[in-house]
Amino acid sequence: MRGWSVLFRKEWRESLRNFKLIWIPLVFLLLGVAQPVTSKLLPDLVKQAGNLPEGAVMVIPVPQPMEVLAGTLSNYSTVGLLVLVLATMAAVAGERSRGVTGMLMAKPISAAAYLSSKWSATVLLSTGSLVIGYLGAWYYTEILIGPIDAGLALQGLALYALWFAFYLTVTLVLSALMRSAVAAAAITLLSAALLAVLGSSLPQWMKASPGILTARAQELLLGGLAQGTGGSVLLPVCITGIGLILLMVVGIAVFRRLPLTPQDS
Amino acid sequence: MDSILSVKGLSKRYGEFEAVRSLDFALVKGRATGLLGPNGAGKTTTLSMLSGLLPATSGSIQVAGDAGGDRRERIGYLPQHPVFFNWMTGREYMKFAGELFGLKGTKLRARAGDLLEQLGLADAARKRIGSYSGGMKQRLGIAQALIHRPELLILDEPVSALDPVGRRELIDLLQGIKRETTLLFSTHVLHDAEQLCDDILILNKGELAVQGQLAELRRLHGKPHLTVESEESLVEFAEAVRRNPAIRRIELSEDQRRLVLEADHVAQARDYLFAEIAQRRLPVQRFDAANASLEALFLEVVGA
Repeated sequence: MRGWSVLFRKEWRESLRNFKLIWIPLVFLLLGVAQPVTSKLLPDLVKQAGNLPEGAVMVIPVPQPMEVLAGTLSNYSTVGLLVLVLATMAAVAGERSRGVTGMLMAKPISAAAYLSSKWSATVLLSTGSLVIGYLGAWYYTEILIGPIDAGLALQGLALYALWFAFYLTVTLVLSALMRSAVAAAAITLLSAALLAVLGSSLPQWMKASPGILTARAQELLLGGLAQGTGGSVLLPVCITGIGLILLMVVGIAVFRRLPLTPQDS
Repeated sequence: MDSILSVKGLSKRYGEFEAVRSLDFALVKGRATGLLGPNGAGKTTTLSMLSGLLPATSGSIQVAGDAGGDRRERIGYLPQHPVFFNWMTGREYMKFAGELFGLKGTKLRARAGDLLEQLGLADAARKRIGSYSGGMKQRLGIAQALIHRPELLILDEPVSALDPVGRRELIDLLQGIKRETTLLFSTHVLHDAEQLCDDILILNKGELAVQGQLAELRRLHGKPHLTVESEESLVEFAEAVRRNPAIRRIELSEDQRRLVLEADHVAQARDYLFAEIAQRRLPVQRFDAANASLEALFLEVVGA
């Protein structure tokens, strides 16, 4: 795939020029740092506010270090996903509706190179942002609250990284196959929400669902996942990985047959 | 004559609608071919299929001497409305386009520089494409389509979006490019086609209505045409002319001040008309005797 590295570099330069490469990691870093800092300061803040009635005692315990990390990841799965999906939704749909894709695909580029270069840039950006933000949270938790179990923390991070990669693949493939970037984003976010709700309401049926990854990561961090139940993590991990690859393969196969002219009659 | 591209039975169907129906034609190496037709005739659809952007419903497109290779390697293509990454500069886009064809290093830099120079974009090469005018984008579009020295350059309506000055410049430029590569372009500006084309293809309602060498087609289809334009109504004059057996066909414009005649022998018809005009002291503004223009042929074929 000769064009791949050219296209990948183009994606990367584009993210740099439109500052995506700066503001998305920054959002993740802020979200990450905010969690331990507010957890530490919240009791003091409430005390300072001082508008509690005379005699009332309000005890807000400072959470455990692992709870803080779990909270950070939980924020990422809502606000973080929203940010990344919105930043990714136009990756193909935007270029296609403007007609840039037609200019590109008249050159000897395969659909696989075109889509996989975008996928790589997107996943690299999301994983990088996640790692940066998470490390920020980790650092401040160590300083302000207490020590962290590095092994568990990294496993939790890996599960979230895979979960992000899966939903960004969904966004990217939908963006390639649909005319509307907004629809691609909406369907991704709805399906993420749906799978999360199903995962908590019908846990028996959803053992293999990609949506269960975040719940497993939370259990892992909070020590709720008993020893020897590695299978309950391995299954959704494998299914998510396979699903992600299948999505890309189908996406590429369908994209190859799409008309790429901007206004096709 | 060596053909560079041959098309057999090419069709495109959108549901029930057949946008292009069973085209058969070949492009001759080193010649410029104009693809003409009214709006909606299927010109863009055809060019999109040739350039590989639109899968054909049926039929084959064969580049000469190519067995199973990617024909996009050998074709340069400019869509009707070229769009770029506005954040790139002209030079960056040229480099990007060249790299997609596997060019690199000093060779690519030199080629990109030459083309930007040739298309009058040397000064703008370092500016962001977002700040380019329509004409500049059109020229950058041609430059990027030529980066890999394609054997066939396909241009979709290259001149129709330009102002008269830009159009003139582009025609001159294409005259030069024509010497280096085979050219296929669509247009509805017949005058431009007449200036540039060796061969023409006329599409009508998705079907190939006419194809051949421009000079040949003119000879075959065109009876000599005479045009008289006057300040006054030509109704009476037309009545008189109609009685002359040397005049085969006669057409009066709606405002009655323009008369187009078809005759077997121009010289004879001209003498007769001059005499008639002089006798009636018609205030003639224009008198024109010429072989059938492409426009006349086009209108005849398209049936408008």
